[in-house]
Amino acid sequence: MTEFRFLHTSDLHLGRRFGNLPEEARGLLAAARRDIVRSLADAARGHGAGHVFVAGDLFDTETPSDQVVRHALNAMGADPAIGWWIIPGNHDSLAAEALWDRFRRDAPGNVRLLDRAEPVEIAAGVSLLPAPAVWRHSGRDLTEWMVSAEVPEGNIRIGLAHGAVQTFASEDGGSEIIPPDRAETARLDYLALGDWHGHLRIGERTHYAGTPERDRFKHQGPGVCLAVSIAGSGAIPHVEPIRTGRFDWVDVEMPVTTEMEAGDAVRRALSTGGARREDTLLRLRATGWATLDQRLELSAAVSALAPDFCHFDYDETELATEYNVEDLDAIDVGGALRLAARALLDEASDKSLADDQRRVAEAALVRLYTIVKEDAS
Amino acid sequence: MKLRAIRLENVRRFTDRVEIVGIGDGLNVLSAPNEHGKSTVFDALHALFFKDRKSWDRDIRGLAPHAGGEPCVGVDAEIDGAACRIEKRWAKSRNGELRVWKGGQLFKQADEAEAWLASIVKAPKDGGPAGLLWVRQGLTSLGDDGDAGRSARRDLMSSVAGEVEAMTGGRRMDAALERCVEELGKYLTATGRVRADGPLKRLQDDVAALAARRDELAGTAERLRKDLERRRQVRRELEDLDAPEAEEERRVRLRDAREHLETARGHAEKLRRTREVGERAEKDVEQAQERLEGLLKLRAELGQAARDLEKARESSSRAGEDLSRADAVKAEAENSHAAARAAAEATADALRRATRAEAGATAAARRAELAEILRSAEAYRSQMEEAAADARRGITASVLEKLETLDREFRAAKRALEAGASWVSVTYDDGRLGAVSLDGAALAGGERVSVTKPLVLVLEGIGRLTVNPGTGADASTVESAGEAFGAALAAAHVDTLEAARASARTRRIAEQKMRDAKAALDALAPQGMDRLREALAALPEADAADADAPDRPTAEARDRAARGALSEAEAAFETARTALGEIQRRSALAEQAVETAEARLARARAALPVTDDLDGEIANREATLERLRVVLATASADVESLTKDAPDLAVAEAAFARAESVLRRTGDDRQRLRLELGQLDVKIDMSAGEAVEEELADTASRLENARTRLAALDFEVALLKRLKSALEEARASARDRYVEPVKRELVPLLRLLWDESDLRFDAEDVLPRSLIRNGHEEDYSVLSGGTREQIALLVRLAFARMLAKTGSPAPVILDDAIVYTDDDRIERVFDALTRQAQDLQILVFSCRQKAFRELGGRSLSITRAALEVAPTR
Repeated sequence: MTEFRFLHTSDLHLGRRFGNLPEEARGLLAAARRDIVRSLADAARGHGAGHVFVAGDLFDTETPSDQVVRHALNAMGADPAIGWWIIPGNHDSLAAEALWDRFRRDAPGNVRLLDRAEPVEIAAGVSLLPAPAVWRHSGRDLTEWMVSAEVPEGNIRIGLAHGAVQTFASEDGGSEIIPPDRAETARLDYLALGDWHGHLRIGERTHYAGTPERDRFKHQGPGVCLAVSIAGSGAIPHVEPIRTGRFDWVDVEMPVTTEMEAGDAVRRALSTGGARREDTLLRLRATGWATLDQRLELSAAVSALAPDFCHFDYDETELATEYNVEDLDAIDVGGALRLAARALLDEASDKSLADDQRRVAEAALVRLYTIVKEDAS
Repeated sequence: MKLRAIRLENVRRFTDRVEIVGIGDGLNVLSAPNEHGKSTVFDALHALFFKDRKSWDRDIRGLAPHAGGEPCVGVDAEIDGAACRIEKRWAKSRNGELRVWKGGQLFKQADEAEAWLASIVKAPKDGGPAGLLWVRQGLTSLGDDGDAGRSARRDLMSSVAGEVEAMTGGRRMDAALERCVEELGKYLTATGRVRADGPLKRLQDDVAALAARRDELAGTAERLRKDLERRRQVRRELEDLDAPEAEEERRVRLRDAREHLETARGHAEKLRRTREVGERAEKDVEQAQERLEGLLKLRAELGQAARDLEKARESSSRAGEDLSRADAVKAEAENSHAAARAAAEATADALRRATRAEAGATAAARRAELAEILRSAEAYRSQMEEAAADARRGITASVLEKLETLDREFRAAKRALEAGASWVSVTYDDGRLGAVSLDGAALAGGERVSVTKPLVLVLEGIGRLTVNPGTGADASTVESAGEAFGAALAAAHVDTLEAARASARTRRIAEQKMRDAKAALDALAPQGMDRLREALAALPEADAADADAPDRPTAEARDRAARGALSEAEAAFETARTALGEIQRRSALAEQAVETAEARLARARAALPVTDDLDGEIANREATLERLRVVLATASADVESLTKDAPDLAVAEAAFARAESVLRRTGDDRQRLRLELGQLDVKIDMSAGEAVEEELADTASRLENARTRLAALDFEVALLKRLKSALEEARASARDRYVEPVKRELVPLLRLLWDESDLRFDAEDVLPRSLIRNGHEEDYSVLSGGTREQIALLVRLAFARMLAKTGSPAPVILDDAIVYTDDDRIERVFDALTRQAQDLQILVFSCRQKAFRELGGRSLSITRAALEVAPTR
């Protein structure tokens, strides 16, 4: 029997809109998401795979717009040589009757919705065991039936499921747990899982593909799908991630010390980032201690770099300010300005006051420093 | 520096050299009318200290006299304990002179002297504070001296408190604050409200709009979810309804129920009929029983009525007998009663007669007695009347007593006259006796005749000799006494006293007699004679003698007996009459009872049925009743047995109705659910493509994002507000600290004028900005001219003190600085001046001579200089 090759993907979340990002980034990300089906088809062709298994959450919600559904179906139907095998996930469970009614009605022949927990022989000698999510929260392990499922002798058994494995919490905090040894107990050659948005290997036969286009800072690096090839029933599958995501979501911590030169710190922090800055969404988290001067310099350096990126988020909430006499002197060595600065500093460091009030006082002090500095230059 | 003397030459009106000398420490007052050159002195001094010797500008030209000449001004001053003389002369050629002597020696001159002078009058720095201690006429407001004044004040303040720039942050502070306000102004209005067209407001609106949109979408999503759920439910229900085995079961159930119901209904009908038979029998029995009882009762009634009639008739006849008996008794009693009444009348008549006879006898005796008394009384009365008449004829005792008294007086008067009177007596010559007569009677010789009245003596042959008693003897008393006595006698109808006495005695005796008679009469008839006569008349006339009248006791005894008999007879008669009435009533009742019994019998007879054989009829009826009872018992037994094993009709009916309704409702439900399913399909199809949840997720994340941004903006606003307040507070407190030294000096002075007052300073200009009186703040510019003037003066004094404390005291020179101040306030201003003058030199120029006399201090005057003062050159 010839080697069976397929593409494993999940969590496309088509229709997601990224409302928490600025308008420009939002548009780019939405466009990338729209194009992801085509990228997957390309990847399948590149891998020589005739089948794409979508392990749930093809759509972001139970009621995606007609346009989203139609675009997806059209993209899938563009190459009839590739078979698309889809199970609903928690975001687009079978409870979304209207969605799936439409889907069934409009789907081209090479796109199949697997809405029943029963084996499907998708190719000669290959049986697919789907575990479609019936409800958003099914409250039970949907893969359990696979253990007793019978398929023709010698067929490759491939499980397709959506949900969390015992070893980590679900992305959506669900309580339905898939045992990590399900592939073994159900004699599966491969268990294709969805739900976790990053690529994750649970065992040699069990993988999370992760989303092909990342959508948050939680998972580093661009999105991938898994190209899997199985030599035959019982063979260890060969799994290879293929980059499909356009955008890189990078979350960088920038440790700062008072001795550090601000420009250097920023440069060092960004040296690890992806090469294509325009396709990078960067979250730069400054931590540690900085002087008032450093803060100004850091802000300036960050402001200078930000336009390079698709999206740049500078977070300095964890960056504490170290004040010294020179800082106050820089504002004024005496007189009313010094008096005001002193009052703000006292308020900022008065532990008996409410955090908010202290934060405001500190920010006011930094602002005063900034204004005085700008005024001097 | 302290001024000691001032000299002017060629200064305006002072073309000759003049001087003001003897300027002391403390307060000095130059008080002179207008146009006496006070301001000239002031201007000259000012020029000396502040105008370069080489200048010939308008000020200096203004100092020169009209006639021309080079103005020269000089002062003697004490500087740092040393006596100095300074003299400056300006020249049109702009090469004036300045010389300074110290301790009599020329000390400095020309430019060197100018430099030295500048160092004297200017405090630590250029533009020193000296200027502010000069108050020019009419220049009352502190700000009028412009930039120079301000810089002078600031310098002085700075020397005491530090640089104002350094203190208040100066321009950098202004810039920072301006930036802060500007930034804040993007978000908030000046009054702190959110700016309507600002980013904060826009973001707030965005958040509100997104929240609203989110809620709306959540609602739509929730409705869609419910619709989907409902559709699933409807589909499930329809499937259940349409299952064929369920439909069959429902039909079978209906058929069974119907059969059961029919059986139950048949049984119920049979039971109903049997019950009817039983009820009819029951009614027949009741009826028959009723009739039988009627007959039995009638039979009993007939018997009883006949018996009652018999008894009544017997009673009636007995009553008739009793009645005739009672009648007889009553007639007898009536007769006895009449006889007794006749007897009683006879005895009563006899008693009346006896009584009358006895009364006649008694009255006759009494009449005789009364007549006798009356007669005696009459006699006494006539006696009394006679005595009364006698008594009325005599003189009363009192009249007599009066006569006696008059008589005594008359005689006494006569005696008294004669004793005091002159007397004449004649001693006749022989032969001539009797030739003298008095009152026709010859006067006896030797007889003394008292002359108590004019006596006319007839002297025979001679004539008449009248002797007048003169005043020595007045006979009028005797005459009047004699007249009184005579009149009294006449009134008493007596001639002499003796006759009067006899008459009085007669009257006394008659009166005694009258009193005795009256006493006797009163004893006989104490109530008068008329009563006696009435009593006599009241006595009954004696009847003709009733000879056969019985004596009274006997008559009384007979009468009592007759009346006793009568009352007994009356009682007997009454008893008989009452008994008769009672018997008559009873007899009537008995007759009535007979009638009642007869009527009852008649009624009973009338109630009899036609049949004559009552007992036969009764027996007949009893037989019928018995037969009917048997019929009833049979029917009851039938009902009981039928009821016992009857099926429950209500249950059967309910079961049938339910089976039927189940079938019907199934149809209805199917209809309804199909309809609903259609509607749901349409609704879901319509909204499914609208991407509601997608939209919702998007809106929610946008909202979250907007909220985050809003929080950041709120934080920014809070930050700016905090910064603004920090800056403002710091500046205010720095300014307060800056002006503190001058306020320390000023406030005590201020409070001399206004209790509890305070002054707020503008730190930049070091000028008072507002006055606080009684907790009320007034802007300096709106204060009255007088108040402003006073404050300006006090502020200068305060500065002067500060200057003195820094070690470079300067004289305070006031040129008519107090013009608007009223007299009351001026006292307090003087107090302030005096107080300050204790350690300051103050020169006051004033035209208000009178008012300023009160100020005290050393008095100065402008005098012509004694000699050329200019020291050796």
